[in-house]
Amino acid sequence: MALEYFTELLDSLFFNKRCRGDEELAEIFIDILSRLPTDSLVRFQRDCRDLRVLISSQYFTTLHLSRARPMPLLRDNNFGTNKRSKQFYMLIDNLNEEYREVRLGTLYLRRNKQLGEHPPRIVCSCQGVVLFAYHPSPYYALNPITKEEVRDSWCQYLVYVFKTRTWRKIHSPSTFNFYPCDASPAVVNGALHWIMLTDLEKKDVPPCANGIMVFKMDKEELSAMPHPGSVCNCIT
Amino acid sequence: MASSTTGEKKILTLKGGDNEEFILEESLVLQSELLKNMVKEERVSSIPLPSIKSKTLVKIIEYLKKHAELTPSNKEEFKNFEKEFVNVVLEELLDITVAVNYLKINGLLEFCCQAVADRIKDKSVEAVRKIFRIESDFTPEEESEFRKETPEAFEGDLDDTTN
Repeated sequence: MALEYFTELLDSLFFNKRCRGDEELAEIFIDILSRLPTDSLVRFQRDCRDLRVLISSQYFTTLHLSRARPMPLLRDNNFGTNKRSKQFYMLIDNLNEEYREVRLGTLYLRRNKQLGEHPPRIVCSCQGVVLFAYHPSPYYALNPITKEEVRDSWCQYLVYVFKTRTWRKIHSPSTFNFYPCDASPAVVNGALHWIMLTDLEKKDVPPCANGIMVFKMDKEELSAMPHPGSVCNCIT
Repeated sequence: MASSTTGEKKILTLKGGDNEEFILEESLVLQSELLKNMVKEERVSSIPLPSIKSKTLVKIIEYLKKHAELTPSNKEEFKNFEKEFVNVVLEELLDITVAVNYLKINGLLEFCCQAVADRIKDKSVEAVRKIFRIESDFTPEEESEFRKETPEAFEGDLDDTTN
């Protein structure tokens, strides 16, 4: 369905001018685009509206991702010495045949992110989207292809199914709005336990009553329990 | 229609856009899914390809010949040939890619698409517009907004040529 839509869209666009009437040409164009590095795509989004729609579409990002190889991200710790300093680098053409050439590309963040007092911290990346933890709002996710970002102060917990390579939402009896510290969870009685950092709705209140987040792996169920100590030590 | 033959080998004629004729062995064109179907099902001996320029067709036939000679021992030579094959002006490379797509020569199509991608990846926004004949439909205000949002997209040594 998506492909048909874009075929029409692109056909109306410019391949008509290059070679009249062949709808398959849009497919080649999409194929070519899907082989471009992300910084080129970000640039070409500025070419015209149709192209912007195409490049930001889920269909295209999935296709682009299917060609992508894992790419290490490096963080420049000398942040702040130069106002235009680039904080994040991507290793391009990593580990080619003879380990000789390693090119560095730059992952650009919007300026306000780059120049913040506390530079964002990479938490993880998945399916082409990089998740940062950032000072004023706890998390934001960035798609380096489209430069689109989602910033929010709520959390959603999902389970990754390796077999189908998809994410599935997990049930929780109450709405969950916490985020745990980064340490690996402890596994007790078949459930994962994290120490909670913050209750996102009551940021100033230490989450004593919900000090520990529990995920029952068999039922895929989230819940919270109070921490056992008398003093909450996870908030400083 | 009877196919003309010389000895054992079947001969086929391809007619390019400017009516130039190319005579080649039928076994060569079987690499193209489109021509294979035409040859097998319709038993034709002459195939008109009005949408493909003769210059482009010459290049593609050259590839078909080289590819047919490909053996494990001359792999390196073939790789060099491929590199040289796409080393043409971009306009011509696009013509070849479009023709290869039409003829459905799958291995070559993949190679051409990658070659086009490698050639345009460092192009400027303006150059890409020229290459694919795109007209910008953004307002001047939006354009200047882009410059503010992602100045890096307009900086650096971007290639402004369309070759």
